[in-house]
Amino acid sequence: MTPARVSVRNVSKVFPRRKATRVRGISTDGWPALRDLFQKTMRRERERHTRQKRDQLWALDNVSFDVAPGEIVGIIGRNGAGKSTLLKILARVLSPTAGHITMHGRVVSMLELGIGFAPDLTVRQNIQIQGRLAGIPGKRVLASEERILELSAMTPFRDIPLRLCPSGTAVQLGFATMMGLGAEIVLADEVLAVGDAAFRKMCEEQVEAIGASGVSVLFVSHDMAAIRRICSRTIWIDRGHVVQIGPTDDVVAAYMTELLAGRLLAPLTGEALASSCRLLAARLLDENHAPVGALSITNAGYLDCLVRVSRPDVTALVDIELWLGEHHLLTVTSPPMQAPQATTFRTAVHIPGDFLNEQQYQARFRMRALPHYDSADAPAITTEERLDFRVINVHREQSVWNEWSGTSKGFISPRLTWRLSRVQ
Amino acid sequence: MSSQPTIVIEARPDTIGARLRSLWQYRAFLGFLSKEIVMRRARGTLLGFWWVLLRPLMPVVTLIFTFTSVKPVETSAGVPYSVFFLSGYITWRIFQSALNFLPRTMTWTQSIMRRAYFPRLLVPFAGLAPTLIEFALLLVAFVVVVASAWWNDGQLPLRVGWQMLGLIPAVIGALMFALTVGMPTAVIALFFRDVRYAIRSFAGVFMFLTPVVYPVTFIPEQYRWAMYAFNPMAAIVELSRWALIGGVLNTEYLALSFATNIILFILSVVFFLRAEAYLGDQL
Repeated sequence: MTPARVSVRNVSKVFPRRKATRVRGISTDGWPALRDLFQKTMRRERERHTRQKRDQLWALDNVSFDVAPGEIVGIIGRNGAGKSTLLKILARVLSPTAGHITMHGRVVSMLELGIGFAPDLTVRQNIQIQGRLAGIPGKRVLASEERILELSAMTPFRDIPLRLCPSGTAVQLGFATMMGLGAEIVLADEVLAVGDAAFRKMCEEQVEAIGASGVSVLFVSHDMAAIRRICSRTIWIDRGHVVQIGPTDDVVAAYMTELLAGRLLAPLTGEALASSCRLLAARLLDENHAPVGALSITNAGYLDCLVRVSRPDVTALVDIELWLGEHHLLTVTSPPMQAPQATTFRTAVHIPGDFLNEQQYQARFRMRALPHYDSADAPAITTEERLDFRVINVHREQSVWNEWSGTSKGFISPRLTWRLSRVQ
Repeated sequence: MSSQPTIVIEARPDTIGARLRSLWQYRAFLGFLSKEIVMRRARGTLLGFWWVLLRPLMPVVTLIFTFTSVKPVETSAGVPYSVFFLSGYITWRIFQSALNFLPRTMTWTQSIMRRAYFPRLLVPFAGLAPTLIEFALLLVAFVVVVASAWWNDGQLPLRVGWQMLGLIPAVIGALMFALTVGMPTAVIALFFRDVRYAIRSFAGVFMFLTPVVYPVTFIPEQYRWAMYAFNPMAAIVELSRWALIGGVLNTEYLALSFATNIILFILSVVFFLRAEAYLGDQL
């Protein structure tokens, strides 16, 4: 067996969780951070693995894996699962709190999307800098420059400062540089998120090509289709833990099932009762009642949940909150009829087509089990489950927005009727 | 495989020696960072790069005018005041200008630091680039002032000779002391921008505690040791002046100044290197 090119052993990363503080109108946010820095800097030996989970955020907890030469490994997980933190540690932007990593080879990375690297420098200078950062000799960078320019379709912009280039092409440049420099390890964080279809296709082909040439790629993406196409192995991370490592199809399937099922949060009160009264599953269904992870903007769908109420002395009330992202509550809806008692039932709310916009939504299913008057000893319990889903625009020509802007703004995008009449 | 570098990442911060070695590995990056920092300054301004030239010249004109026409200062060095002033000011300005730039360099390069690894110590070093440009400019200004004084008085107000080499340790000393103060401030400025304004005012006041606009003889003999002991810049400015126009040089104070300077510099570098490992989380 070939030795691993990247080997990650028991890596953890802890971020202190700090509150914003104010004293008499003066923001003191910086103090705890600065104090922390000074304490750590002055102390001789750093304390390791202090397990005070209370005011710490464990972005990564005991993560271990290996990547072989030529292997393309996908990293999937929800937002905030720790994927980007992992890549940043591998790129040495962050240092791990515990554990160690060995990498054989030069590393190039594309960590945060943004308008290139050094906006004031020209496209070619940017390529040079990326090469230097990866520790690749200048001559070799010069040799691969043509190919990089060609890949990113930036040849006409080669001597123009990056900030004057179209922003999409700047991202393409970052990607092409990463691919074309000839490093042994490539770290790519959501490189496919931008760029047009042709570019994405090119990206995927490139990733496959360099994988075939023996370069190891760590590839973070939310695009399951792309992960399936190009990654041979996939790591699923959730809340800092590795949930599953294995062949892509297995891991993606498991992840999708979990995504579609939604996360079952721990019941807030009344544990004994909760086991008998709870939300079993929440799903997003398409028009044909098939579980999906995203809705097409023009199509209708259903938010569906399965509730079990096995005690006769409680009434279950279900409501569904529809949020845009995490911060904007769009609406709360509850079924008009009361749930049947002591049973397992399914309830679904219809989401019309041409209603939600191209956005990331969250449906919060909440089930409250209220005890009847005659059994006052039973506490009221609430279980909540959150389901993240996207609304995507598959057929842009069908979009209401297509007529003018091509961009999507706003919380919702209903197809509204317009009337035009002549006044004079 | 053997030709490829092996990177080991540990939870424990790298040793100081390893850090200094990686500084050398990434030396090519210094040029880029310097350019970024110089250009960053010019971004969005009308005069752009010319500010680098304008900024140091404005106080020079004001101060020379004030202390020759408004309140003449007796220099007792036998040279025109403008020559006397500039011979010390060019070195002093290194310190002042570096303190002006260094606290901002970390914030300026933050977006780069978030995306890529390179030894962070390169940032304060690259932050000296605009300062060195200013120094070169002031040196030209000094030559012009000397030439015009020569033209007016018919005698060269400079002492030409091997002593002029003394300017080199003076410049190095000023750069070192600027880094000594600048590196911790640059780190703190990431949390509190107040430091920037504080340090700028501090440098302004500090100039009058250093024999820049006045000769050291203005300070009574019995208090002079205090100035030298607590202000490494005093001896450095004196050295620069001695190198260019001559005069007495107190070698004991000079040695004391350089000794404290070197010790403080090493402490400052060690602090920065140790803080570096934890900076990532704050960016």
